[in-house]
Amino acid sequence: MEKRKSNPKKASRLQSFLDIKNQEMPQIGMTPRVAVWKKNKATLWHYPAKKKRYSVPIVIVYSLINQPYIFDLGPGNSLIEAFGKEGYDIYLLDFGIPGYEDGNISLDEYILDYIQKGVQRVLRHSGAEEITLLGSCIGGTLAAMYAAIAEEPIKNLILTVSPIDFESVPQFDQWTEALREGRVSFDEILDVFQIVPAKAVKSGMRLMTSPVYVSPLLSLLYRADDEEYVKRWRRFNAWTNDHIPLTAGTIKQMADDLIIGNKLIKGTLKIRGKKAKLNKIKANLLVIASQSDRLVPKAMIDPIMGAVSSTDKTLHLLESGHAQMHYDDTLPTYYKEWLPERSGPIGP
Amino acid sequence: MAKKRDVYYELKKHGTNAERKINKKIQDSLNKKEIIELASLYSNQIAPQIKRNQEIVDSLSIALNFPTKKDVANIAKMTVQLEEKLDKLDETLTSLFQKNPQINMANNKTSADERKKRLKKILLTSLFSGDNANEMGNLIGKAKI
Repeated sequence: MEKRKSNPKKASRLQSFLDIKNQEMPQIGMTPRVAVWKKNKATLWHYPAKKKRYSVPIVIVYSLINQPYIFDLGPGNSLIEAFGKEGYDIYLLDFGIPGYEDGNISLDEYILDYIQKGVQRVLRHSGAEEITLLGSCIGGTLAAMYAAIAEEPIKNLILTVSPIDFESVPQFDQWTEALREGRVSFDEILDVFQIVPAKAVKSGMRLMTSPVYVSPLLSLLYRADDEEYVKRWRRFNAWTNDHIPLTAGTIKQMADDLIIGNKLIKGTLKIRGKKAKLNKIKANLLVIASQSDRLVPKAMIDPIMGAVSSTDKTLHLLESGHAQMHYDDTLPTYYKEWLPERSGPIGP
Repeated sequence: MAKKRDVYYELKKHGTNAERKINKKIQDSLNKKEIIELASLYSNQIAPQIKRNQEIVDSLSIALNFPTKKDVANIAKMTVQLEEKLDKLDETLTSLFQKNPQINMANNKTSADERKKRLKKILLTSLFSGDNANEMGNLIGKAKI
């Protein structure tokens, strides 16, 4: 009893921690948006700028294994909101949640039938002459592949924590070696199932990063009396547990073209028969890598710097991990310093 | 310094370190060629069995008149094909309007009659050339279509 009295804050923090599960879940993705194009499960969302200050809109392409609402977790916790406040028109291509019927969708389809078509829609909807393409994680790999064959005008290409060179993978190198030696194949089972369920995707990702995953809970306990932190934590936690299924076609092409063949960096990749060489990319390039990223280390990212033909290219190194949560309603410095002069400023 | 004495801070710090070590041990113990080879072998053994079962269900579905997942998938794929056709139509119309800026169906300031006249002109010039377009235009005008 004495102990509790002497440290009331400690007791209240533990109590706050225990109470969290009874509290209402904070809302996610509240920035106003309009659907401008839909195809199959995919939606192209438009987040209009509060006061448009740049003529070049930003098109965001996200990963195939997580939900894209990481860009818009909540008010004051959203990169999209921050871009909008700065005067950028944002378009987000949400691939949706694939089902059994989408099993044959591979990277080729995602790039040509969704990303390219989506970019054409953005150009039409916005009336812009050029776009900024922002790809994150595997979405960045897809964005780079698309940029290598794009006929559409891409002024700026931004890649955040996007693997490009698969020569040395950070985890499970023995598994990768067995795949490359042709000693293992999962094509037959993938053809039978057509889709890898979200739960299996989540387990796979956890195995790659943190099979035991208690540190986020310890962080929450440490700051359980900070209401804003708890809200942010809960939104982020919801996202980290919200994976989406992967199609068999995608997994097979990723294994063959990226992990086994490492074709993107080698310049031997073909997208539906069309050569996708990174040296075709001439857009202004901003590449973001994270020092503490265990999933996609810098060595998998920075080889793109020497592979493109862009003359204006910047590599920015962050200290965070792979998943980047946006903590406030202002743009990170690396965007603030790099993007405005390359986005066609219109007025004050 | 105050933070370092905080029991929750210590718990977080040591817990995170312990987690990292345990995770590395788990990953190292699984990072063996034999494990992935075993998984591959097992999956290649069960895949044909599952496929056979699916084929049996496909055959039964004909006799017992129930739809399978494949049937539902086929309908979904047809819907996507339809979406692609509509997209193509939409793109063609947009390109047509861009090539003929005098027509703008979305312009509310133009009266319905005016829009009809403009559309008729575009269609006629697209379908017929020169005198034929005028002749067809007169015929359509007389017939009050």
